[in-house]
Amino acid sequence: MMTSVSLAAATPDSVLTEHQSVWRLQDTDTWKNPALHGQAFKTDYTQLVLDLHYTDQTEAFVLQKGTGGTLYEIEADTYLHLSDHSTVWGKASYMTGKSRHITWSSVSDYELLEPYILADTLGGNTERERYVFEGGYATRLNRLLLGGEMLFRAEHEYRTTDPRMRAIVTDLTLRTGAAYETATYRWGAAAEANIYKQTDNVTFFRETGVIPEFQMTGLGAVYVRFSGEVNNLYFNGGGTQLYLSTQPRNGRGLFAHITVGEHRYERIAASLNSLPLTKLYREEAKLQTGWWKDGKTHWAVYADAQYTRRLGDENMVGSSLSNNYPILTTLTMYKNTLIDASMNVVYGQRRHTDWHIALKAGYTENKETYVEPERRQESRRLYGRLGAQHIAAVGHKGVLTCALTATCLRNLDSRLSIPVLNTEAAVVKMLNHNFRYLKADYTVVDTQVRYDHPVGTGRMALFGIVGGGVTFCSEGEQEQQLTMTLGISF
Amino acid sequence: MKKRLNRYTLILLTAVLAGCHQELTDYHTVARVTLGLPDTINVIRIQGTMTLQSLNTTTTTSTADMNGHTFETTVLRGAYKVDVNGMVRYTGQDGATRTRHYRAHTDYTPFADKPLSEAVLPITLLEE
Amino acid sequence: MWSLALLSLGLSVTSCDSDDDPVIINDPVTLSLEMPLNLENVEVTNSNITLTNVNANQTRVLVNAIQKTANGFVATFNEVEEGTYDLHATGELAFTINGVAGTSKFEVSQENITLSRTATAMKVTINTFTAKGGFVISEVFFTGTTTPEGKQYSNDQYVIITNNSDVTLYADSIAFLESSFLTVNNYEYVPDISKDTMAVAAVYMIPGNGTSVPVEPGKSITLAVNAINHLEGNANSIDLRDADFEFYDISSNPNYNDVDNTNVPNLDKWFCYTASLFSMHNRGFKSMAIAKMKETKDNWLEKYAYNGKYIQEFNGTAYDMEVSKTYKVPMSWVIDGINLSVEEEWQWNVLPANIDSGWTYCGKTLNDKTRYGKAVIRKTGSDGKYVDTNNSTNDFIPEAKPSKIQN
Repeated sequence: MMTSVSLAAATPDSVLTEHQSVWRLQDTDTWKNPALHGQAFKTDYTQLVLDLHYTDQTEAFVLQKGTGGTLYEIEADTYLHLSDHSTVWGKASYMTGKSRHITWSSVSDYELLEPYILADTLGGNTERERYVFEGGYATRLNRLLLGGEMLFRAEHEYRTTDPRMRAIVTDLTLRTGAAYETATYRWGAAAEANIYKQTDNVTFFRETGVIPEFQMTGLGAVYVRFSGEVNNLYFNGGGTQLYLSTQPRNGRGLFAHITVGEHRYERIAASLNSLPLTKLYREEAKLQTGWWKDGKTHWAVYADAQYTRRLGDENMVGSSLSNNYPILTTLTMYKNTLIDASMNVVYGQRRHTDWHIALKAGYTENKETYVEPERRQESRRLYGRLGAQHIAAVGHKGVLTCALTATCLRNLDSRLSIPVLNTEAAVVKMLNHNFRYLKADYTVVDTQVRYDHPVGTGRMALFGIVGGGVTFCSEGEQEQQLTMTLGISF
Repeated sequence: MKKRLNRYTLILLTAVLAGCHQELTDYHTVARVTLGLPDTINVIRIQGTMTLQSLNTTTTTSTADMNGHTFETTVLRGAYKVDVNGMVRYTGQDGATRTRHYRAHTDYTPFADKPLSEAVLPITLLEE
Repeated sequence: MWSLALLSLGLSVTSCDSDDDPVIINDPVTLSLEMPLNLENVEVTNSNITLTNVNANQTRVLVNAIQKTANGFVATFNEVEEGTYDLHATGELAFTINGVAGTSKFEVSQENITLSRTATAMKVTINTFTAKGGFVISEVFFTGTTTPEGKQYSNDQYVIITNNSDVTLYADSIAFLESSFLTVNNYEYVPDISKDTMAVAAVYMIPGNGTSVPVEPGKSITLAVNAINHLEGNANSIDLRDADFEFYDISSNPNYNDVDNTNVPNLDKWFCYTASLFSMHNRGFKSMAIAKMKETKDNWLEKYAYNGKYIQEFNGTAYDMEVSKTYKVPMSWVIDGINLSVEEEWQWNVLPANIDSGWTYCGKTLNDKTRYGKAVIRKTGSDGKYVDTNNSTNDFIPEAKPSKIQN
């Protein structure tokens, strides 16, 4: 049901509040179901923004992700009600920028594909470009809600000095969903299909500076036979995901979201007659359930648990006859389980201002093993987060949004066990470096200030955001982040 | 209604989880390497060390456990390079007893069949 | 709530396999070392065994812990953690090979050994040296020299024995033998022992207690008939004061006394055909050998006399002759031997084919005057070792310049 918008001088603009408040944003899991995304907001919102995002770590916390980057983005997104019962939303963005001091990774989307990546010891800075197009539509037929969505991402990452890596990513996701409304509850189910492809190659312009590119197979293990000069790879992958949810309609009650999904990514050596080297499987199950109460004073208490199991299959390749490589057998050599469980409390009020505080206490665990020769890396952590947001009207028509978050991560125990004697020294150094940061303690402080200033008599407003954050690491190193945004909303 | 939906959800989840990837854990096989001895000798005693190097990871394992003129060891399935070095005491066709070093080698042999992978390696007697 | 149950199930499943504590194997972990098959009477000393855990990079060391048991050489580690290990063992072996005593260092490694409660036995074979080759006669200088006046001078004869293997061998109890039979007279000997026994005219043995005379791989010892500076009396001769051993005889003839260089140890004389001073057949009609004497001198003199007969034809008449004053040495004691002859006169090889299937020479005729100042020297192969195919026709350089002659 649409409500007419009125700009009251004393209270912050309700459109802004609706789209910016952390209270609504905790529902982002539900909105993966396009049918339910159509019910996300009562008001329309469109914006065009220019973004600058800067990150810098004094020393790379994860060598493969580098020490940071400078990214510029231009983005347009919208959420519109076409009528009483249909909604449309979309987004288009272009990002360009640079990542700094990446080593041990010659691919894009490291976190998605690791450990099955191409890597070298030298690395360097990379240039990046990204295009994103998203669009969705939802409609209501009495008690039935239906929706569909498409998300597309294309990325291009490359380096202009040796080793010259080049990665091109295309990532397409299609979602379809339905929901059913009873008197008090809304039940939703959605399914998603994803197709992913990345092509990678590394070339050297200086013949004397050629270094080997390693095919990594997990925790420092290397597929030596195909390392060195097999510099043309592609990844084929994709998967499916299922979203189930239930939420109260009248603003009070039990809610639950379940996500399950499976994705696979195969690494194929293009120059070896398209020989598949490895395949990574990722299975995820996520559950969020709790109780909420909406209203002028509102609160929610919920538990969040996520379980991810990643398995890596390695193909044991036989002797080649005229570039035809037989696969003798396939074995699951790499295993990784990740757990993240937390309890959350959100409390807030919507009176003259809109303010919230959120508290989160959680536990994470990451266990990786490589079967033979045996390698293991484990870490367990406790974390806590306290956040606050305040949205208030300023002057006649302006709105000021302030947010502050502090997070603390403490290591419980951790372990790294690798066959040091039978592993190359450079690889051992890389593993030890990443492990130091994996088992460190962190304190993160983030703040953000946004000011919206309406212009003209219509819905249009100009806004600016300045945000920054610092992460302190118990290893003595730090990360700094800075975000600046300029935008128009209407 | 709620109960039925719960049940459906559970069934759906189970169906999804059952479609999960099965781990391929048939990691090892027994590699049996038999030395091919020349017809002209009559072996009295033979000993040696067999070294297997994985062609994929370059990890090496060795065994000196010989049963007759056969080595057996459990290995990770895959492709290997095999080297054998040892000594053999034998009586030749002339009836004389000799003790000589021998060697056997292959650049490639697959050990992937389960439960047993076999290979025969002819030996070369070294000059003594 | 079933949702919480699912959550806790997920947590418990993964925290189940926390095997952080290292598992100690209760039984002792044993290492068996298999010695090279061609060695006998092996003893191990100065051993050092290192077992390194590949993941933890922790090392266990056993020093001098190898014990000789009924099942071979074994070392034991106790309280070993399960895991993957690299092994490295070094030490010294003392052994006899073909009767000759020798020593060598050994080093053996093995990687990625899995040790667990069900796998506690490690085994290595020692192949790091071949110990092949043994002692060989590398040079015989039997022709002697001539004086500046042209007279024959045989006092400067010598023979060089070299350790042609890659292990240290002991020359104790190795004797130099000169054959009783000549290669230029193929008589029919009764009994004919020549296949498996050598009839000897001279046996002079290197003395020692078993480990008194070590010879390192590639090194030589010189046995000189007279270890003196012959240049003082004969400008064409050699200074042999640096010889390792000397042939010393106590002559029955007071006019001919052997010179004794007291700085050079004397060979132990077991037998010589002549009661006066020994010298090698300088026309090279006899075969020479080195053998490991496996009896005491007294036992050998008692048991190994050779009383044989032969038929000599002269002017059409066959005469029964007795082989006089000879002893015999079993061919199984012979380590190396060479047949010497001359082309014009050669009739047979005194030594059997498995010792020497050929023959070598200095001089071509019966009384070849060009033979003086020449030696037979064994060839060196591309691997730096002396060639030994048990065929002196192939293995030796005939009429070579003796290595000890300086000019």
